[in-house]
Amino acid sequence: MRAHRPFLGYGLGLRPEYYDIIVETNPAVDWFEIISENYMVDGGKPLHFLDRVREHYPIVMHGVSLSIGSTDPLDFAYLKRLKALIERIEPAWISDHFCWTGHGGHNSHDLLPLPLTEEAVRHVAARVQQVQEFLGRQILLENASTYVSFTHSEMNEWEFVREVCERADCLLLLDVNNVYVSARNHGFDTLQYLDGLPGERIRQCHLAGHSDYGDYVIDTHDHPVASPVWALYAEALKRFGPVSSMIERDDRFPPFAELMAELTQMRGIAREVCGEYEAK
Amino acid sequence: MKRSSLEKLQADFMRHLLNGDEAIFSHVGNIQRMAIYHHAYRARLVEALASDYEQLQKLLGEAAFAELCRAYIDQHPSQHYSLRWFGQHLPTFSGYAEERGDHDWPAEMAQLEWTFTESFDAQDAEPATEADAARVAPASWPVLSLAFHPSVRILTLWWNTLARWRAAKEGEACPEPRRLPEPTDCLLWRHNLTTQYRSLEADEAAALSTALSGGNFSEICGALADVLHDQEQVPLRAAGFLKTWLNDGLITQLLCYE
Repeated sequence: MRAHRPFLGYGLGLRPEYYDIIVETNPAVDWFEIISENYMVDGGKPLHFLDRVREHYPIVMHGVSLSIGSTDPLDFAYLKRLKALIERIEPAWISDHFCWTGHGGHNSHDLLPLPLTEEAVRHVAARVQQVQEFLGRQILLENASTYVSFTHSEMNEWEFVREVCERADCLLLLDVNNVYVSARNHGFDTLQYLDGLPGERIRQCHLAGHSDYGDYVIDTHDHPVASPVWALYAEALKRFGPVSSMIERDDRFPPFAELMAELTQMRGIAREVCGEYEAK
Repeated sequence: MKRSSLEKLQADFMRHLLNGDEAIFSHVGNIQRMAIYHHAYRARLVEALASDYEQLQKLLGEAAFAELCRAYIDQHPSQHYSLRWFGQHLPTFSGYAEERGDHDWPAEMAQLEWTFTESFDAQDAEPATEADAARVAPASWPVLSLAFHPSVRILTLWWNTLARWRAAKEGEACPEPRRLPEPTDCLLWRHNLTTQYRSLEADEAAALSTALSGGNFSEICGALADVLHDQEQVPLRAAGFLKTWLNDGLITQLLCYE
């Protein structure tokens, strides 16, 4: 059952709200994830703290601006800056999302949904290959939360994900919360989704909180991880074995101890499902 | 060339975000949920502006700031990959005109806050020290020029913007906006990771502007001679400023060109 994948253990997002406590206390977190764009600046506090945290922890880079699904040309100014940050930080891996973020030179700064079509698979897979060639490494793409579906979609999301990963030979960041959110919004079965994924390509998991409005759910990263998402995480680990996992918190930041408690909860679930497994 | 259906869909979707155009509705299964994207688009941009222009928002008030954001978002859709740059045109959009000074106070407040943003994440550089200055050969002093930290900015203020910014930031009673009798230069820079600021007296402003534009020590003294009544004070004052600038971390290199 265990895929032979690099395993970092259990991590948290590196956010400015927690810089001081992290560098002062070196908490028992196996690794940190950064939002790449927040460090694509010339200097100052963000890069200073990133360098200091990097001295003690593995880092993975998570981007929000690659816009891999856009029909606008790839932004090579962005990619060059990303590559420079990769060289500075030497992350364990880098990721972005299955989405597009803008069109016609205008950026929405949102992770917009792609139609699940053969045309989009071909478009995205070709661009992933270009990006991987430019960066000289494989990238991970994350399943995004979506709120609308397109009438001309031709496949399920997990089929789309599998097709792109296989054609582009890229890796997958499984956001368990996003599976839950999109399943609620579109009415698909979360377990069928997991069963349809290319498990051997999953390199990392995200967990996060959402906002439940009854008829629909929004991926807000401003709450603790919800219990159905923990349950789905356990289901994912049953299928895929241990996966480097982290908790995303991007708003209504709680005391750091609360995130550490969630991290402990995540480790507990992983231990229960997978047994002891050391980071390596 | 025929547009692909993917491109058409993205163009329609983006137009919906930008101006509410409804062409995208014919592609979408659950039209009412497009409101989530439409709302999130504006909310995210407003949030970015509120974070860049925190004191302006306080001083203008919620309603006027929201109106400014609405107009700005319509006029300047984001074109950069990072939200860091989205607010860069707000000062000019608000009418800021540093040279003429005929702008209203919100434009100047916006310019001050944006200048802090620039200073905050400008490139790093190791500051020079008084020990470096002590190593300069006496004969080289007249031709000595200075390299400044990339975070150093001078902003000319025509309003009591600095006092109001400080009061708003500290949550203190804020003076009414008023124009200053004479425009005043404000120095902004980053030292030990923290952005700093102070007002400059006319003599220091003259010396620093000259130094920043590449003037050597003789030229700095020349600029001081123009503003000081007592010419005997010039060399001493210039040396004093140099010491202050070194101690404040403004200078990164002392350069001697013959």
